[in-house]
Amino acid sequence: MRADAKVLLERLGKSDFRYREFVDRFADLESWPIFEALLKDPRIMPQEEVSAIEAAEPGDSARMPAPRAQARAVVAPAPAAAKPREAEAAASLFGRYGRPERAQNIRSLLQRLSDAVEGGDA
Amino acid sequence: MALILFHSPRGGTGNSFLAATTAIALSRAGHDVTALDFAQSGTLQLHFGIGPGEALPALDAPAEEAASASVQGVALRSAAALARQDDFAQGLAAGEIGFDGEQLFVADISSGDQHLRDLLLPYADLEICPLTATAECLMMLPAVNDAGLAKTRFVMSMVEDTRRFARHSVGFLRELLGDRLLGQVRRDESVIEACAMLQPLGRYAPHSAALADTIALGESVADLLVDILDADGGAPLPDDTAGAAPAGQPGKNRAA
Repeated sequence: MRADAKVLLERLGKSDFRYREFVDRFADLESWPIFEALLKDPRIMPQEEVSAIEAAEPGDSARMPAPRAQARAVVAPAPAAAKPREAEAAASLFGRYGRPERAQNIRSLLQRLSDAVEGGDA
Repeated sequence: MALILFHSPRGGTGNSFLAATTAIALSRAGHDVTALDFAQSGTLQLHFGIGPGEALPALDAPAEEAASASVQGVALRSAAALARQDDFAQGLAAGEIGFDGEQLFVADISSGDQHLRDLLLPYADLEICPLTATAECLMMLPAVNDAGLAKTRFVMSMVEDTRRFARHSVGFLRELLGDRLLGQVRRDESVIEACAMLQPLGRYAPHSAALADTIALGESVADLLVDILDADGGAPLPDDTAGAAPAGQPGKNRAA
């Protein structure tokens, strides 16, 4: 139980409430285009990892181009020729999706972003 | 002992508030803490209950002048003027301004002062970057990465967990940043009211949600510092420094 909820219940003298904390799981996140724009920024995530993730599920490649989404991207693509030190920093610090469960997470998010664009929801 | 920078790429993220409350939390954890206000606006002192009519002693002020500026165990100094002196960078490089004494320095840097942040980062042990759950703030994230992130940790600030985008942003950044996201601090009207009352938040609203969050953040930062300083072979931490100099007491260089 969160500390503030506990304090409130104590102050109210109530102990018979059913307490439930609403936490959004990553799988439940909605397809906000700003998230997609960030994930597609090479300074956030090395693009070879994005390509590898997309390639891991061939079915995604047909859906991923999402030209409308690209046209609406909030963040413009960073310069392709990033300084080596910056590229290294991005790969080693933000590029955390080499682990299987994170690769699965980002694959799932990218797919839902793409589906939303195709369906006209994004 | 260490220099901790607070700097956000976007204004209005509660940077000064988080710097102040983290400084207080670290002081309570036994550290000898000095809070440095590098911002020309000088709003850091509001979070210690010091009004705009009082000027903080300068970082390089004599010890007797600086001794009185201590709130909740945290020594307060203004470093805005010093940082704008022509020889500030040279002073840092030459070690005339150093942060390697027994004190722990917490620096509040304006969001717009990227140059100062870049200048101080090599001398810092840790940088804490507050973010808010807005697209305007999130889109600055790639720019933070430009300077490298080896020392940088993030905090979600002013979180309203009843708001959908705020919850989703926290979830997104938790996945993206992993352990680099130290925690979140909820939006709390008490923070604004405490400043208006010229009182520290802990005195004005001891049951504040934001206060509870910042105490937890302070504990995370303290734990992180132990790891960082251990890895660096740095100065011993509070358990080993019972005889440390009082907060604000000058050391052997201009900053300490």
